[in-house]
Amino acid sequence: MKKAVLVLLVLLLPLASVVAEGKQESSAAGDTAQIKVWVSSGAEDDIYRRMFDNMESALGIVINDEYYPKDELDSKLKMAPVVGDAPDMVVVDYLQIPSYYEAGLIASLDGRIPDTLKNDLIPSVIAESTYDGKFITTAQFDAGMAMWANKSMLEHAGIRIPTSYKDAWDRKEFEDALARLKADGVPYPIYIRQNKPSSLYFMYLPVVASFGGDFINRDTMLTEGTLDSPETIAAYDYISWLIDKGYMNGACDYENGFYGRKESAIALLGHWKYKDHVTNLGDDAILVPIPDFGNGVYTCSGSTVWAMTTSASENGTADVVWKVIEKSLDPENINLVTGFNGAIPSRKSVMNGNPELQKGGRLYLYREQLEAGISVLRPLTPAHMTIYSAVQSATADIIAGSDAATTLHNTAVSIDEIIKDNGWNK
Amino acid sequence: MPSFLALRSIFTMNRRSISLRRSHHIRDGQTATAWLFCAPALLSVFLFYLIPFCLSIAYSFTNKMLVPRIGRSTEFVGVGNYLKIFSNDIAAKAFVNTGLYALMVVPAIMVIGTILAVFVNRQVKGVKTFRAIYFSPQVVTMTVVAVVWSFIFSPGESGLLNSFLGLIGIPPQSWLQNSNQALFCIAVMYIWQSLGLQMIIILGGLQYIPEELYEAGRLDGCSIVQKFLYITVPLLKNTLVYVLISTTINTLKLFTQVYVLTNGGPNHSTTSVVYLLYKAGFINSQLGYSSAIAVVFFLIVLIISLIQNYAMSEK
Repeated sequence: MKKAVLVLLVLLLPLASVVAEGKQESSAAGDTAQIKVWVSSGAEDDIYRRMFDNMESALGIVINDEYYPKDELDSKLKMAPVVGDAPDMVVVDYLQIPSYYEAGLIASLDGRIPDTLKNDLIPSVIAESTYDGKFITTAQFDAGMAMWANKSMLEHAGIRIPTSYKDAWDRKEFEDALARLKADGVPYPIYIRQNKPSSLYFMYLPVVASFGGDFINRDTMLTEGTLDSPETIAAYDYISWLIDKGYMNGACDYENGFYGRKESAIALLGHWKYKDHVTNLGDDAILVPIPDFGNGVYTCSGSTVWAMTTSASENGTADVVWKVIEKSLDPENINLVTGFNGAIPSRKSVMNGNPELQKGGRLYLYREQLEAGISVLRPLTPAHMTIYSAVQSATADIIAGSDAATTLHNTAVSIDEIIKDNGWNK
Repeated sequence: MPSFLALRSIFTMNRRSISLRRSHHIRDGQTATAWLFCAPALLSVFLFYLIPFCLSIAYSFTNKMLVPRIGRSTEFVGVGNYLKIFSNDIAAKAFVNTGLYALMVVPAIMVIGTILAVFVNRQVKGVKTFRAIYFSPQVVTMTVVAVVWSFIFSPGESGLLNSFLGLIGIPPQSWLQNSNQALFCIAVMYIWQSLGLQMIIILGGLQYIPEELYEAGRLDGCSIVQKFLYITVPLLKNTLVYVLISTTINTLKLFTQVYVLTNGGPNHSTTSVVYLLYKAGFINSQLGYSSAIAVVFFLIVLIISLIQNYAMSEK
């Protein structure tokens, strides 16, 4: 028996030393404030790393930043309260915030953000940051959404190039443009990132809105009657029409149809493709507004937001987290990230300093659209992941040839069943 | 089902320890030592298998959410979640898909794995290279395998497989975008990846068969097929039972390929039970419903494993 106890003690010795070492480390770093940040991984990861390094020096703190793919981060955050491993701050897609807020994971910033700073934010950022009447997030940028076009290809096919949302193509002119491009030898005149249907939940919303449809009834927070309305069905039937006419490659599984292979002259893509498009197409990469399909011209907005978790208060790091969030809104940090991804700065004062966003600049259309208030937001609801996942599958099915009416109706029924079961519409 | 295997091993261990006590009592003073040494394993089994398993059963009778709204209490819903499984078209499709997938994969792995094992069991030059080649996909994670195969199953004319088919005059297929082909594509991918490991296990079994038996068979005038059927297969039975049961269980747990490549589509044609369970729990936050799916799935796997075990056991 004694021998056995001795053996066990020997086995447990390394474990004890690891624990002791961990304690020593934490006490050594005990003088410096530390915060844990979880970031939804994306193209900007390296920029955020640089930004956090700068903030560590400037604020004299330690930022433990961890990067996870969107779905994994969502799962981790949902499990965080259960396992007691919540971060102090998150940098995520704004759509994920309502469900975390409803679960008591996100703290309000109402008492912290000064009016001067809040009033400097563009309206679309204030809209995405406001939930349940409270200001709960901030953002460094907002999405710019229009269509990228290849100027030379459009000019060669004799197509008028609109420069403002006010002179956007109507449906007839848009279809005429597609026909001309096809006749001019462009294999698939339009690319809508059909290889990644999940992104169409964001990018296709302006088209759906222009047809008069939507994903959800914003009053009842249910989808039946809206997601499967004749207007929304017409918008999704349009995808099938584009494929049937040979204007879009339904079997596309690559990302570079517009800027690399140059088999498309128009791409329904947002600001995040700025670098790829400008690097590969140079001055040929221009923006044109999304056409008016009968119910007006729309863009969509929404971005990566910075939010303080309720764990920050529990950990005594709320003040440090706010300093980091506030620092992220400094002009140099906003310029650092928007200079990389081509997005629209979230502060009016910063936007004025970017020549690309001035009248005549390549990205001015983004600014004009956001300032004109023609942007639609994806529904802010705790049911976001359910709706996103279901609409993504429905879009993929429609691209693969399924009937839009049946697919969207079945999708709406299954989404509403979950929303009602979970009480997300109350 | 690791939890089932763990439970079974515990019961087996307990049965053995009881019989040990009856026949040969553990020497005085050693019982405590035995428990002490078993404690870490028992503790982990208790914490990570038994408690979650019992909680799953308990949750399956509630409307528990993964992330509930503040103030929303968990309520007992009786067999509501179970009724939902049996009345939901997508759930029914998920169970059918998983069954079809297992029917495609398990026989293929059993037959091809055995043939390959027999082939690489020969003492010929370069056989070790073949073994390494067949086994190599096993060391690659399924996520990477799925991404690699997505290029092979690329739906365009320039897709790898479509280009090859084009050479023999077959028009391009849409593979993973086609609801009639997607599950088959995923099955092929899994067979390719897991064949090597099963082959190695069967090979291990083959190498335990005494050469004298084949020699005796040869003297009695047995053909190659007769030797395979009357010597190899019967003596390989225990190995084949293991391969059959482990492959079946692994196959029924279809998830990664679906998660990475198809998200259950097109038209739910690749939605598997585990993917459905994941979606219910993590996307839709319905932990109660997700637990009910897990319980039903556990019972199905248990029954299949018991049937296989019974059918293959010595009478």
